[in-house]
Amino acid sequence: MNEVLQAAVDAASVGGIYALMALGIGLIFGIVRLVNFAHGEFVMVGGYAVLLLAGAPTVAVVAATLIVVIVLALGVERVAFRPLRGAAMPTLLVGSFAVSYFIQHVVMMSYGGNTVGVDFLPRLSKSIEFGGVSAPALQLVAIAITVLLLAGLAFCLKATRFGIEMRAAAEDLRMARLMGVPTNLIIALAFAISGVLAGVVAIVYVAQIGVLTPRMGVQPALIGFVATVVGGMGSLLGAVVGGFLIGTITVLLQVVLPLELRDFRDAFLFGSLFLILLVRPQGLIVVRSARERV
Amino acid sequence: MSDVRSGSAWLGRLWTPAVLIAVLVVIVVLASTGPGSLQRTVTEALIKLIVVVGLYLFIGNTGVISFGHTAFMAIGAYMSAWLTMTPALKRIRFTDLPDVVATAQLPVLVAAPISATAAALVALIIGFPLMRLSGISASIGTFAMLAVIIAVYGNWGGLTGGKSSLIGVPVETDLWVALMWAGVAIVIAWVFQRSKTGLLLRGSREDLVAARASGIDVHRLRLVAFVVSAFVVGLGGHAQAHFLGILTVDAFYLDITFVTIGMLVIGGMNSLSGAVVGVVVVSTLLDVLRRAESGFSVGAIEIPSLPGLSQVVLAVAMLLILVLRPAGLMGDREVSLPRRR
Amino acid sequence: MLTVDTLHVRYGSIVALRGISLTIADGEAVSVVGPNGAGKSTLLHAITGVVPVADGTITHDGDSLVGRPIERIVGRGISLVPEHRGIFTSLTVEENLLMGARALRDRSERAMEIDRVLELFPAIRERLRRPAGRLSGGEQQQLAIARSLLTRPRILLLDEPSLGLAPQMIELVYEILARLRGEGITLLLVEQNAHRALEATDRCYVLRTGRIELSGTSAELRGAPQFEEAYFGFDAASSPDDTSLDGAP
Repeated sequence: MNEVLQAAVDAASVGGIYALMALGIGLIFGIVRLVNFAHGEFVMVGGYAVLLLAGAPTVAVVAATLIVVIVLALGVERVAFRPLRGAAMPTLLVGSFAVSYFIQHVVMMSYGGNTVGVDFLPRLSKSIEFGGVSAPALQLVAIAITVLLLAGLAFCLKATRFGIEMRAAAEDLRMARLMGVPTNLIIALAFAISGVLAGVVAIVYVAQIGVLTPRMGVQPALIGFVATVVGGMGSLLGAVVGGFLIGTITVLLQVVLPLELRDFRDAFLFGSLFLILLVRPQGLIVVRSARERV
Repeated sequence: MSDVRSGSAWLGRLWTPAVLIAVLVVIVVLASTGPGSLQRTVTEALIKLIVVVGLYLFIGNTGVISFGHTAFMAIGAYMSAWLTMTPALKRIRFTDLPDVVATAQLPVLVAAPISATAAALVALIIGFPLMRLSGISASIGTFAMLAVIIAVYGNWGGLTGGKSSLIGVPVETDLWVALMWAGVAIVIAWVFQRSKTGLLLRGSREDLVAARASGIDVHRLRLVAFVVSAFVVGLGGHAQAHFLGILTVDAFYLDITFVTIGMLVIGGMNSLSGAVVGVVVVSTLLDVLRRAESGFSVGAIEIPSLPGLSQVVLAVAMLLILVLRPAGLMGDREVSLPRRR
Repeated sequence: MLTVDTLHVRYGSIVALRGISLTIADGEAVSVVGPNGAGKSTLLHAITGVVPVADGTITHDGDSLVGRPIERIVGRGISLVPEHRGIFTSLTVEENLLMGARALRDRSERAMEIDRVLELFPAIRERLRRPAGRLSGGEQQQLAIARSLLTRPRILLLDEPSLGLAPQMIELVYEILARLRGEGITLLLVEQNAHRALEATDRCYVLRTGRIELSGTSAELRGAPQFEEAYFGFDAASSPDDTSLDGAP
């Protein structure tokens, strides 16, 4: 029973982070139909921000990191994505790929390509015991943050004026414009929220893993993308479900795979997701209005 | 139709690949008179051309972006390496190779179609479910495919040497061999895009729903394009393996993916000429930038060493093209016969 | 006053509108009728800024609308009820209405306005919390109009409001339009159903393959033989006892 509980806690914390990644990507996709390859780099830059600010009081580090990532997200939107608005899908995809690569290499030029160690919130690596389960405090904090963020975002989307307008824009941007919704503002807001989500992931990641490389955003971003595909592109709920699903499978594989195969965990993970897509190519939660030009 | 007209129609159809190959021949001839470093640069560019043409074969005909084609390059490269290395070497280091492969030692030329076919087979298996996904989902899927294959190859020491390099591959790809494979790639791509499959695919791009309603099995067509393109890219991998004689898994991951896609985008995603033009233009640009990276002086100004500059500039160039001229330098057009007015 | 002068709109190489000119004075109800593919929707899209204008002018109260962003044009009080309603199906009915009333910042004012508009549409009032996608076609059309009314439009553009609706629904919608006309809202109505449109409006333009074939007051056009000819492009008013068709002497 303890193992199950332990695994559940693991799945919740890993899944939560993946869900936040997927949500950041899904939010942008929903409104602008853009797969933001640079989302991984938002996380990576957030990580380096923590590095730069290490030593300052935790609250300051968190706040500053979030601000840095938000500014980056808004900047990327303004400079790279706005000129591409309305372009064909392949153009958007490749464009966002180029932005991702650009940011990776700018960071590489500044910091070198090597791994850098970061010591952030070491106190949180202490384990907490409860109900026969022992988990690092960080994991529990991550779960708590994920739940809070998801709840907060859901509330904003449902109850606030901007939330309603964002949902309208996500369903039919043109109609939202015809209702007078200020497109640039809504899109900027979406990117800002996406930045917050990326920043939170960055902080948790850095605290958990303790090392930075310019390429560290690629893997979490990839999982985020796949989570949106499996969850159902265009659905925010799908993104969250996809994220938790992948977290669960990851933890399951970690438990079930024999030692020699542990290195290939990702191969099995994507393999199993592939099987899911075989059966249900449109993803788990289908959004009827998710139009897309091939 | 008179014989003369059908004759020039034929000429018209072969004009594009002929011109493209002729241009490459000229470049190679010129380079062969130059220093060894120039020849190596041109050979490298030709190998990339094979990959980009293969990539174009898929992207240009289906309209679906693939971020994972260099996985096929890796498969072709490693398969060719395994087939051509001495069995003694394989017995020591690569103990997980199946006996058939471990004991074999084929001539490099024979290994080429076999390794390319291996890549094509993997494409067939993965492509079958993958091509059922919508455009964006399929593109993400190709990225995931690349990550998985790189992860598998990177972790399976008994097959590939894992994180360390695989050495001992016979070196045979020089300027002329690379040119030959580049020519083969161009011909395959040309034949494909003029074939019924290619034409149907391109026609379906505009309106998927109408295509399906007309009874066109888009899934099957895309799969064919995926498999053939994997074959060509696999050939590129083969050429790459025998160029340096050394293979590292990471060389088939992000950087080469970005460069090949960048070349295709800048040249023009929708035409074969675009693919070739893109490779030529970007290779030249990158070469110039790489020299600049190591720092130089302009008059009295010292420009410091800036590693990574070439990639940053390439990324910016790609974005500029996408914003200003999304169809690339060739803009959907092929190099064609000058019209007689 | 909305003026369109020699408007040309293209979709790539396809010409949708070839030099259209029309005017709508404040308080008028004008219709544009024509068969499918005539360019009627394109006209409305050009006015609201949804599609770019290749040539010609569109002016509202003296200001040019060409090249302006949609938000600006709509902000002038030009509201479009699009073909197929344009309802946000993932939002509730209430949320759709709130979208319409978004310019009203004050909560109580918003509530009052919504209340006032809902008096015209009692069917909607009962379904406020429902996801808008669950409404019937007729209810969605009512919602779309209600939503547009909340923007306090000076000009209301309607794209084929009777499309896909059952006859009673069409009745209802046109009743509402008559009421709006009575209240002095400027209406530009685009319709395939030409006779309905003539009843509902003061003046009418007949649009066919991108050109205005005929225009006049509804009174003039009603029953005029040129009307059907202009609409269909041939003389559709041939006499029913024309014997030359069946060959009998």
